[in-house]
Amino acid sequence: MVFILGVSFHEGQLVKKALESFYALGPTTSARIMAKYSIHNLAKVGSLSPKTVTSLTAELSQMSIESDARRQVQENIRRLKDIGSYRGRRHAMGLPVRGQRTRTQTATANKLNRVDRRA
Amino acid sequence: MASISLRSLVRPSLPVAPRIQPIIIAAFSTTSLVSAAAPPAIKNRKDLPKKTKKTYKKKQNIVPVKKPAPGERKAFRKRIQLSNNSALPVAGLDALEAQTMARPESSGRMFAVPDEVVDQLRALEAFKSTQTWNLFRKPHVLVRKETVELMGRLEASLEKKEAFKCVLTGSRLSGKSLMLLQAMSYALLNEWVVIHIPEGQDLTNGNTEYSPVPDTEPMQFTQPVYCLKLLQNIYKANRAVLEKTPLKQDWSRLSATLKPGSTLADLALSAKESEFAWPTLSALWTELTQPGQPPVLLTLDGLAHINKVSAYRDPAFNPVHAHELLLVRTFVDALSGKTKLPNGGAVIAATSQNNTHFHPSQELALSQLEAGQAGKPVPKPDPYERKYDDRVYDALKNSTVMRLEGVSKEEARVLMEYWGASGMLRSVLDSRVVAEKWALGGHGIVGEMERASLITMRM
Amino acid sequence: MASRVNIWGACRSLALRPRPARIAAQSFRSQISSTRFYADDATNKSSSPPSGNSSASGSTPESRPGNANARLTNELAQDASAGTVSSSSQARPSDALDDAALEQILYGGRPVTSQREGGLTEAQEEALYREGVIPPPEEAEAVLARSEAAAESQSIVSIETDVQKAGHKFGLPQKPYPEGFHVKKRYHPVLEQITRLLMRHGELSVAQRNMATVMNYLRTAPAPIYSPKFPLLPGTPPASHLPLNPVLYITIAIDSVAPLLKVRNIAGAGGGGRALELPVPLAVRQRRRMAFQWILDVINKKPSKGSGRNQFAHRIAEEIIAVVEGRSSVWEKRKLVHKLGTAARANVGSNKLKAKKKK
Repeated sequence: MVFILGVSFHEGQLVKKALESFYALGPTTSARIMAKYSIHNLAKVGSLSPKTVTSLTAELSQMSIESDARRQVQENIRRLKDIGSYRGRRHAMGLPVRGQRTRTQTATANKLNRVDRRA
Repeated sequence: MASISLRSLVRPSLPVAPRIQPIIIAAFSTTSLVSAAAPPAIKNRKDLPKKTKKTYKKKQNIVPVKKPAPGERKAFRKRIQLSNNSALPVAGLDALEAQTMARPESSGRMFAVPDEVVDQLRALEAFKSTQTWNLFRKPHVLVRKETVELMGRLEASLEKKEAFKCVLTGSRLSGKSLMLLQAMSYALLNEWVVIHIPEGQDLTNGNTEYSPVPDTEPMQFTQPVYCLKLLQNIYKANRAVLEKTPLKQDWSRLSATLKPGSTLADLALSAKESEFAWPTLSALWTELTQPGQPPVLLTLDGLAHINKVSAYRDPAFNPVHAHELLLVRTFVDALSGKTKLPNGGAVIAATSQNNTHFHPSQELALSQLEAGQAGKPVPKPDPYERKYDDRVYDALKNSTVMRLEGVSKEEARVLMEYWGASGMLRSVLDSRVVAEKWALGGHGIVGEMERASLITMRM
Repeated sequence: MASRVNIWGACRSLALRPRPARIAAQSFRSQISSTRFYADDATNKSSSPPSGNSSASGSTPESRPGNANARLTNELAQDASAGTVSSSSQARPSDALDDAALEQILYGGRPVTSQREGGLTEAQEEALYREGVIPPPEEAEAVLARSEAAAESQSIVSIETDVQKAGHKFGLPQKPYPEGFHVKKRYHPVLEQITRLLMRHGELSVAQRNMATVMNYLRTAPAPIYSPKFPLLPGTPPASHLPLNPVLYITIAIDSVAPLLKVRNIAGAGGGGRALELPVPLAVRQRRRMAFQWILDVINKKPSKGSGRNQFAHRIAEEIIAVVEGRSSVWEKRKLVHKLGTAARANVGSNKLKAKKKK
């Protein structure tokens, strides 16, 4: 068990996958982080030295990921709602925001669009 | 009860006659809307009754199967089997000796690889799982015309005290890796130190650990885990020679166990952790390039992979050229002649046709070298090609290109007689059959001949 | 039934004789009848003259492809060393046998290997591939010689015919054709059949590659250890001979577990609305097909052990080794079928069947 940013990962998990399990950290960012600490593509979490793990944690704590990133998104939506824009209203109603049809195929909008967006 | 009585009071329960027009009873009701039990309000699409998905999949009683342990499948796939007890032992073939392959009279004959050399070659990972060693009782090799030529060059390098630098190229399945194997067995029999990188791809596809070397510009990288494994392989294969050779320099800064009188074997063994693997390997290489040490054979398979931009990235996220990897650089320096081998020896790289990519600058450099050797007009670079890499040309410009193609019909016959004597080729061997297989195998491409006669439904 | 067998045998022995050179004059129909397929009707026999057939059939009990009854009687003759099959010509073979003898024939009691030290002669191997049994070497030689003579007589005819080369720029190829000349007969007949059985999604070349891998696996595996409990074909060569001849290896495995018969259910013929269970002999190709389908069933249930594209082939090869060593569950299936056939043998030639036919 290795702890990165307070989350425990199995030793056999790939570092790439472990990094990308954080919200708002995708392939590009993970590749850059791994290059910064010279971690190769197939490195497992268990093979990282304790020093690298600490610096990874420090690096990640500097970034806006997880709750910070979520709050940012929510703030953006709330701003739209507060200024009374059409987009804000669509968010509040849980309908597609960018002019898609609503007769069918609105599952994603149903799932995601709301003022306090979670995912 | 109260609600029932209330309802019976307010709602007249008249028998309703069948009518054509549906009537809305609520319209006749005198109750206020409030008293009716309101259904849950649909404010959102979320509140709509949800459909449950029906699964039509039958639940089968699945018997739990014991899965192979991690790594077991790969080990099964990569397994190298060097003997087949069902095959007939072939009598009357000599074993390889120190100078056998360099002699012109052994051209076109089969030779057995001695058992101790087989062990050493196995330690060097010279055998490949795609080669058909598993069909025969013992590893045997065919000494071809090109083999004799190559071994003659190796022999000459000892007298000239100069490295023989060579690139093996040729069609697919034409025996380039096997030629490397023969060169290695020649070197092992003559007590050279052999260093073999079995697959160039392993170094550059970003699948092994790397760490930057501080204070280098552009940044260089070492590959500690790979180097440790390579060091162990070198020790296993060359143990006898390394144990005889004392160190020339003082390497006590690497390990406390290295005293002035210790041998190269001690140096190779001193690296226990991957962190110290590269310093130890480079120390070993420095020792081997000192005058008075045994000659060295440095080989690599899959040349195109070490001439490209690797899959690694430096801390600033710039791609790393493979020549910035120190192990690759060591090889390339030796191949380009930048590092001299004062005891003689050879640096041989083989291209691969199975697992490769088109590499314009390498193709150009090799074709230019080949044309230069043959005295033909040297091909010009394609003016529309932008991806030429000068470093590749610099790496290859001092080497000899040796092209391998099919074997001659006489050599094919010897080879097929060996197959027949092992019981692997059941048909009658006459010149017709030999000519047929030789032609089917693209004019004697050995691997294709094997496919046409050994790995087939027609036996 | 047995009498019919003998007449068939006679016809065939006649048909195999070297013919007079003027065969071209014969009609196309009679040429075809020279090779008899299992599906051919017994009425074909009228096409050849009946002269001297009684003596020929009585003295040489021939086992041909497609005639499992003949094989049954043949084995019986070997086991009981009765020497003649004349007894079976008077009565039905199933009547002449008691239970013990039949069980002996159907599952078990056969000699594990041949008495001879060496392997099979070439003629014996040929006979095995063609007929699914290993005859004694002399008999095999005789059969081979006869068939060669027949082929030669045919080739004489063909040479005669291609004297006229009119209209061909390069002439027609000379007969007999060299080995591997015919595109569709390029592979060994047993392998050809099995390859098509293990083909998936119509990918023949993949199946052929798998077959080649199977054979290479068999060649590199150590020689099998025969189990006395599950005896192979009588006359099987010693185990050490098999790995170097993978075609023989596969053929021995498949022919040894192949069932001799199948039980056909004839609806409503059993009386009282029941089906009549009628044991029917199988031809060689049918037997092989059945056996290999059983093997494939076992393979498909087995989990793959490794990764890569050779796994299917490796499982097949392992199962073939398991069959030869008697570890395979395919033997159970064979036993089951034979038990059923033994139980239902009273139904062969039953009156109920005739009654049904009349209706």
